[in-house]
Amino acid sequence: MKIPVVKKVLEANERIAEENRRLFAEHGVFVINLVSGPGAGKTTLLERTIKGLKGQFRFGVIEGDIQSTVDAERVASPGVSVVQINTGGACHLDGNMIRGALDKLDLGRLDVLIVENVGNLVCPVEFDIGEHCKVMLLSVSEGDDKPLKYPLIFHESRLLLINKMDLLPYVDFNVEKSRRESLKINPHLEIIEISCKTGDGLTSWFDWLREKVGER
Amino acid sequence: MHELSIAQNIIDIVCDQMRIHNLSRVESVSLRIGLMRCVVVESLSFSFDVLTSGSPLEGAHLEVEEVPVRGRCMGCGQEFPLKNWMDDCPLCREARVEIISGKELDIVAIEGD
Repeated sequence: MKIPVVKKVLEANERIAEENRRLFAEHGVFVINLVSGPGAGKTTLLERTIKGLKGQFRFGVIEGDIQSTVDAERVASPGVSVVQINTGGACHLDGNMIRGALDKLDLGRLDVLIVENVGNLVCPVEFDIGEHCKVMLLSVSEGDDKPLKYPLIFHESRLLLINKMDLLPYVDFNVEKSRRESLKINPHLEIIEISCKTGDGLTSWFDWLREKVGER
Repeated sequence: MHELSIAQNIIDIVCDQMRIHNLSRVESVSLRIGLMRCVVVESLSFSFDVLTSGSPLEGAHLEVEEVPVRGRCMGCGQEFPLKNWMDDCPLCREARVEIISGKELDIVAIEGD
């Protein structure tokens, strides 16, 4: 007997993500799902962002890692609520893990919640966590072939931050090629070039964030 | 290794359907998976076999139809297959192309008795 079904494989996750989204809307929190490969600079970006916008937004952070609390310790500072999720092997965060972490956060006291996903260019993008948008970080030392190799993450992200621009003289990374191919995959993608080390471009990123939080 | 999580989600849905339709055995599960999902079918089947071993689903196999990526020109609206991500519109040469299929991840049928 053949039974036609037609169901989304990830419907259970999508249901929980929708509940998360409702909670975020209820409390007026703007939520970013920060995605990149390992070592692109997600935690450093968080440190710079929290410091740079101190006094303007109340930040919450959910750190996703397979192991350790290294990132949560780096981001922790007065007035910032941090929750560490250790996936214990899973290569991504999903809606249910975020739902569990929300019990440890007072959403009513937050303006912006940034979820630092597990460093991985494939899996995190499959699982909706209820965020407003995905922000992708790509560092120039990873190479400019990433859009063609990992198209889905470029397709699903609202903003691409090209990081470590200070390293450009030392690596073979063609910014124009990378921009062109990223926009080919996602014509709506916004792109900002930054260096978390020198601070170049961070003002544009802060402006982008202010604008999006204003629209929430 | 998102294949492992995806396999677990498939199993949860199939178990629900087995209850609903009173099935005691499942022969196959048909899936449609878009190529943008970067799902490695061999790895998905392997994960599915490992997770179903010793359960009522043991022995069931996955039949995967891979859905090619298609785009729609943002200039003239022409729809066409995207072989690689760099294709321009074959009709008007517009460079901006929106992806309209290739992200599917659906169960479409379950065969069993």
